[in-house]
Amino acid sequence: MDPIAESTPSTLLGRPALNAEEASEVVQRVRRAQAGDLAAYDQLVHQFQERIYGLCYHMTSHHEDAHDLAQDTFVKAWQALKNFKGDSSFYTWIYRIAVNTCLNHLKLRRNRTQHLSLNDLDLQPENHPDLVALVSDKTPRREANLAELQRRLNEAILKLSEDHRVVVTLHDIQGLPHDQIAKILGVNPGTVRSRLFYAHQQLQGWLADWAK
Amino acid sequence: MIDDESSKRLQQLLRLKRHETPPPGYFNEFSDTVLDRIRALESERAIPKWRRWFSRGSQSSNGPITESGLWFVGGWNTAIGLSMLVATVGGLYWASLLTNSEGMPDNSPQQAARLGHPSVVAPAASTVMLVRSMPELVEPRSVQFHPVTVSMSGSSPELSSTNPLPSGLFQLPGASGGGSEAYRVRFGNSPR
Repeated sequence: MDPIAESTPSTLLGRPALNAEEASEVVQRVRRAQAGDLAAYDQLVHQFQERIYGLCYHMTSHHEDAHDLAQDTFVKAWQALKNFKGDSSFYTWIYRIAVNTCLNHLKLRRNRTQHLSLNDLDLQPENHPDLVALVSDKTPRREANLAELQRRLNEAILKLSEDHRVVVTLHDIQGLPHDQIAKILGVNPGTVRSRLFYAHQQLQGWLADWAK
Repeated sequence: MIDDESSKRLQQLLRLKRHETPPPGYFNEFSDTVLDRIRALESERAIPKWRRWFSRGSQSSNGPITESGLWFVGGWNTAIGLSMLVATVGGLYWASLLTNSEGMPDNSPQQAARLGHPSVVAPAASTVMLVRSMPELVEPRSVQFHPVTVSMSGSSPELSSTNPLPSGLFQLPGASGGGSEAYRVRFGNSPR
C-alpha cells in the first residue's frame, strides 16, 4: 500500500474518515503538488485547513496566533513538499509540521511575555447538546455560566506543559488515536499514554468542580 | 487514581473545546492567503540575491521598489546612499585638485608656475616624468630658474627682484619688521 495513501484517522472533530476514493485523491494531489501544481496544493489546504487551524488554536488559545501558525504550517509544508518521501501519511507529515511550528511559537512567546487570550472565543456553544446536558443535568453548579466554564477549561489547558498540552489536544480534543499521535510526535505510543495520564491527573485537579 | 467516571467526565469537558471554532466564512480566504504567500516566496526565490538585497533595503526604509529595468535604483535609501557616495568621492577628488594647486605654500614653484609668470618656470610633474622616461627628447638644462631677491622694509616684505612678481606674494618667516634684509629665493630643484 502506498504510504501516502495511509488512511486518515477516523474521528477528527467528528468528521467521518476519508474513504478509499478520498484517500486516493489526497495521494494524487500530493503528487501533483510535488510537481509544482499550486491548484492541487490549494485543494490540500482546503482539505486540512480546519484541522490544522484547530490544532494551532487549542495549542495557543489565541485565534490570531492560530491563524498565522496554520498559514505558516502550509507555507512550510509547500517548501518542504519536494522532500516528502511518503514514509508517513501526508496527514501525519503536515501535522508534525504544525506541532513543531506551534511549539516553536510557544517557546518564543514564553521568552517574550506570557499573554493569554481567553476572551476571544468566537463561537457561543450554549446550544450544543453536549454542553446543555452537562450544565443542566449533572453539574452541581448550574448557576455558573458557560463563559466561566470555557475560561476555566482554557486556563487549565494552558497550565499544562507543552508536551502534555499537545497530547491532550490531539487525543481528547481532536480525537486522534495513540499510535497516530506517537507517529506525529516521534515517540512511543506508551509515552503518549503516559503523558495523557499525567495531563489528565493535573486537569482533574484544576477542574475538580466541573469534572466530578 | 482517577476513577473512570471522573475520567469520562473530564474527557467530556475537553471534547467541548471542539466547538470552539471560528465563525462561518473564516476560511473563505485562508487558502488564497496561503497561496499568495507561496507565490511571493517563489517569485522572491527567482530574483538574484544581490537584487533581493537592494529590495530589502528599499522596503526597510519604506521607499518605492523599482520593478522596472532600473535595478540599480532599489529605493530611496539606495539612491540617497549612492548620491552621498558620489558626492563624497567627488568632493575628495576636488579637494585633492585644490590641494595640488591653491593649497600649496605661496612660495612653492607650483604656485608660481600657476601664476604663469614667464620668468619663473617650474617643472610640472608631467615634464619630470617625460624627462625621466625620454631624456633624449627633453633637455633638462633648458629649465631655468631665476633668483628672486626680496628685501624687507617696514613690516612687509618687498620684492626687489627683476622679476615683476606682485608684491605681497611672499610672507617670509621671521619678517618681524625693521631693518632691511635681502633674501634669495630659489624655485624648483635648481642647484643651490
